[in-house]
Amino acid sequence: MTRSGIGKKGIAALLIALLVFHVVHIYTAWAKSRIEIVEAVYDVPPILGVEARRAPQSLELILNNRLERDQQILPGFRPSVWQGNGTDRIHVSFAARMPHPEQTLNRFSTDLYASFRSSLAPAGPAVACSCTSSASSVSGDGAGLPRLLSWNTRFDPWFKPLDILSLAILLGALLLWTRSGDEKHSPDH
Amino acid sequence: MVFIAGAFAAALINVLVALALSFHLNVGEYYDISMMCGVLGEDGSACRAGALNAGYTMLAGLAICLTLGFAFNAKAGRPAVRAVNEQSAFGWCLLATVVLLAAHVTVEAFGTKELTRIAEITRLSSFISLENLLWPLLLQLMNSASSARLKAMYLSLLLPIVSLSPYRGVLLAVIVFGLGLPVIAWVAQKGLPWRSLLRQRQVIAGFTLALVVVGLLLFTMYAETRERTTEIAVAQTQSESQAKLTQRLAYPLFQAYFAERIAAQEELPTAGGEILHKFRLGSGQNLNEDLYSKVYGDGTVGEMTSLYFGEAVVNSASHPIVWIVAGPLLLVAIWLMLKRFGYEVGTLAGIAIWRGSLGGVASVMPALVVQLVLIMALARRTE
Repeated sequence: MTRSGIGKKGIAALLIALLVFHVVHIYTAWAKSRIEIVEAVYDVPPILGVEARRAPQSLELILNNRLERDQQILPGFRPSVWQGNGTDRIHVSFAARMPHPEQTLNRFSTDLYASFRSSLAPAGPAVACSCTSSASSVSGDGAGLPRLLSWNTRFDPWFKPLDILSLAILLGALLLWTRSGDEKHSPDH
Repeated sequence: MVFIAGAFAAALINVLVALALSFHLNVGEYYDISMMCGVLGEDGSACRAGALNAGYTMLAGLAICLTLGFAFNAKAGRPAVRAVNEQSAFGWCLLATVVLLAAHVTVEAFGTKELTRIAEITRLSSFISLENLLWPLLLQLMNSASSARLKAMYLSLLLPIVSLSPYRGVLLAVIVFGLGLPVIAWVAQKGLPWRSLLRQRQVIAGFTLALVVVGLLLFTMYAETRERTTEIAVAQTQSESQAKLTQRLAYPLFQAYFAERIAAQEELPTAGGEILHKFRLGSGQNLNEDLYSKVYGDGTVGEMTSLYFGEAVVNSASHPIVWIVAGPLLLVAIWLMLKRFGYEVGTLAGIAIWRGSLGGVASVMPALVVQLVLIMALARRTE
C-alpha cells in the first residue's frame, strides 16, 4: 500500500480505529437501549393544530416546561414533539426519568390547551370550526381540550444484528490483513 | 450490463408490486394515502385511477429505456479495462471511512441523543449525506476488486456505514448490488457447473456466509419496518407490519399522481434547482420535499418518492413517458461512454438508475458525478 502513502501498518491501524469506533457505536446504542422512552399521541381540534403548525417552537417550549416541572428531563436526551399527519395529531416523545409518566402526559394536554387558548381567544365564538372528529370535546369557541389518544413506553433494541455482523466482518478483515502480512514474511515464501 | 439490467429490473419490480398492491387497495384504510387524496379533493377511486396510470406510464417508459440500453450496449463493444489502482484505492477509502465514521460516532455518542428517527436524521444529515456519497463508491470498488480477499475488505468498510444509515433502501442496495447482482454476473460469466462448484469448500462457505448475511440484512429491514410509526387502520386480514409495508410500497404511485395534479396548478421546484440544491448552491426545498410539505404541512421534514413520473410532469411539457425514457437513458449513456474509455462504473450507474427511479434523475446526478470523478482518479491503465 505504499502508493497511497499509508503503508501496511497504517492500514492495520486504520482498521483497528474503525473497529474501535464501531464498538463505540454499539455501546452507544446499548446505553440508549437502557432508557425508557415514552411516546404519546394527542388528538387536538384542527384549529389548535393549525395554530400549533404556525408556531412549532411553542410546542417544544410547552413540552420542555412541563417536563422540567415534573422532573422528567433526562440529561443527554432531547424530548420531541411534532405534529403528525394533518392538523389533528400531536406526537410526543421523551425519556422517562420519573415514574408515572402518564401524569405528565395528562398535564401536557392541559398545558397545550391553556397555551393555545389564549391565542385563539380574540376570535371568540364566531370562529368557524371545521372539526370532523366527534371524539374531540368542542367548547363554544371551537377549540376543545387536546385528548390523549394513546401512549406507550418502549426500549430501543439493545443490539442490531447488522451491528454485530459488521463487527464480525471487521474482525475478520483485520485478521485477513494481518495474516496476509504474516504470510509474506513466513519462511515458506 | 448485469448491473444496469438489474437496476432496471429492480425499478420495474418496484412499480409492478406497487401496481399490484394499488389495484385493490382500500384507500381509506391507509391514513397517509387517504390524506394525500384528501388534499387533492379526490375520492379514493379517482386517486387510485391516477396512481395506476402513473404506474403504467412508468412501466412502459422503463421497459423502453431498458430495451434501448441493451441495443446501445450491444453496439458498444468491449474495450480494455482501466482497472482501479487497488493498492491506493483501498487505502484512501479506508481513510475516508474512518474519518467519516469517527466524526459521526463521536457526535452520536457524546452529543444529545434524539429519540425519534426523523429528529436523528435531521441532526446527523451532513454525515448521512457524506455516507450516501461513499457507500455506492465502496460497492463499486468491491464489485471491481480482483480478489475475494479485497472484496471482503471492502465489505468490512461498507457494513459499518450501512449500520449507521437510517434508510432501509441502503440495506436493500447492498443486498441487490453487493450480493445478488455480482453473483448473477459471476454465474453468467462462468456458467453453472454446480457439481464441480459444490465440491469446492470455499464456494460452499461463500454461499453459506452470503445466505447468513442476506438473512440478517432482511431481518434488519423487517425489524426497522416494524418500528416505524405510521397511522394506518389495520384491516383484520393483515398485520400492522404488513399494512405498513403495503402502504410504503404502494404510496409512490399515489405520490407520482399527486405531483401530476399539483404541477398542473402551480410552479414546483425544477430539476435544475434540485441539482443546485444538492451542491448547496441553491436554497429552498427540492421537488419531493415541497410535495411532502403540501401534504403534511410547512415545517415538516420528509420527502416524497414521486418517481421519474413526478419529475417528468414538473420538468417537461411532453408526455411523461418521454422523460421517463430520457432520464435513465442519460445515465445509461454516461455508463456506456465511460465504459468505452475503459472505466468500470456499472455498479454506480445501476445504483443511480435505481435510486433515480424513486426520486428522479436530478436527485442522483450530483452524487454520481462526484463518484465517477473519484473512480476515474483512482483508475490506471492496465498493461
